[in-house]
Amino acid sequence: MEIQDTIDAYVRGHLDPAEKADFEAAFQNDPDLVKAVEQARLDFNIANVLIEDEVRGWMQEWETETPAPQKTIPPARTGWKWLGGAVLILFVGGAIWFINRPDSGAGDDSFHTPPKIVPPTTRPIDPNRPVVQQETTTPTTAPVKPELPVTNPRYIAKAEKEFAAIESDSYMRSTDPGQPKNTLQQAAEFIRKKDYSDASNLLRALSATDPDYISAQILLGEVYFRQKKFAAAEQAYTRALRSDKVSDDAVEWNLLMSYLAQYAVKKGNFDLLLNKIAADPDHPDYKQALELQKTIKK
Amino acid sequence: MNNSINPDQALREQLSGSADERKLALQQIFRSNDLRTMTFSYILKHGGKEEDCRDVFQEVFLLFERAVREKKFEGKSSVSTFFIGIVKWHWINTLRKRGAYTALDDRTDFMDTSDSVEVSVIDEEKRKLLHSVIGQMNERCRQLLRLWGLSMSPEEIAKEAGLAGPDMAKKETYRCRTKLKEFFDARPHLMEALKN
Repeated sequence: MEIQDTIDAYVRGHLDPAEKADFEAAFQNDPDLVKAVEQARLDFNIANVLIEDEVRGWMQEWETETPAPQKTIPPARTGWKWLGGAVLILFVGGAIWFINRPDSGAGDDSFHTPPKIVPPTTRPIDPNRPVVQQETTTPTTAPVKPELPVTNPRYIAKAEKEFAAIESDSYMRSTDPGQPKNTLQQAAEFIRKKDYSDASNLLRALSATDPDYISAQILLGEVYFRQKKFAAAEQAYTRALRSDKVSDDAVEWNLLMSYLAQYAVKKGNFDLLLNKIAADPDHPDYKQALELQKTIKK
Repeated sequence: MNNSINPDQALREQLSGSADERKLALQQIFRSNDLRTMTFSYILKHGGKEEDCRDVFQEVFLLFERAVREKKFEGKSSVSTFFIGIVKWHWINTLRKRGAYTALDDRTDFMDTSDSVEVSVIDEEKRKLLHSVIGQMNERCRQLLRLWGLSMSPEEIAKEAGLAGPDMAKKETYRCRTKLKEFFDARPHLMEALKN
């Protein structure tokens, strides 16, 4: 095995304990070997980040296709609540049995037997009673609206026209030439060059605990929108809106455009958000929202 | 004698198989409704909110992928037991960071898996620095380094990257790593920051 292979195997933790001990003993007195091990560790960490970025990309794809769990298990009930429920069920069951129990025929029992109650369902139906129409939630007479395709070109074109692009320059202005660019700056530069794939790889790598996470989600929303991944854009903007560190106004308009691009399936969300913005004269996009309301009605 | 491979074993083999097999296996795990339900239930039961659930699931999925790659998952427990073990470990750490973790006895919760669930995590500052380095690499080197990181043989790297053969794969990977070394040699402060 070449020395580089041994170094790599050591860094990956693939040496057996004896080999590992020998190797560690060797590099204690060899500064060049120590340096080579440090470099291999860095290579390995970079490779790990690249692999994670790829997996994050897959997750975004799969996430848009995967429904949320339909039902989560409710928090555990306390023993007392269960006991109370059981007692109540026993009591009600006992009462029903007592009321409906078959006549035993014993003379004394008939004294205690209450008048027999006929349950409503077993009562004979009065043929003259008025017939009441059952209320249904979905009237059968209502015409069935044809479902619009999710990708309605008209709405997509409108959404793309109205979408408010980020000012990538604002991220670049703060760049100190002597310092490496931070993730947001690098991503903004990729967006400016329309290299959305690299921008998304960088932005997705920031975890929820990172102080730049919210800004990354806003940029990611734009990246996805430009790639016509509207559901993913919607998710990114929604994640940004969950934070109290960002003004809702700054994100809402582009979230609205993400809904508009998926109008057939997001009409409810779109109407709700559009009405909210259009009802708030202080919202920076108030006038645009009023205009949009008129256009959509046409 | 039953010679059939159980689904868990098949999944584990796929995870360490070719690039396509690995991706398929990961997709199957990511889309498992049972795993999601178990994760979401655990988080909600232990002080988490709805919005935490999806983030935790995704973070744990990444940790799970890395643990499998680093051979920390040896199949002593089932995939789901191992996954939920990481969920518990990760959630306890998250609560600790938020200063909201108190119940120390909960720590025993994730000991129901025989495989170690404690996965090494690259901290945020280092990750940012590593990304700034990755930003300087060309796409070819990123691909080769990623494949090398997956412990692929030179033959597999050549196949995945469309190179003429294993020798070429080895040579190209070596060239990329040499460029990285030169990059760090010119920036000893960066190397130092990443080392510590």
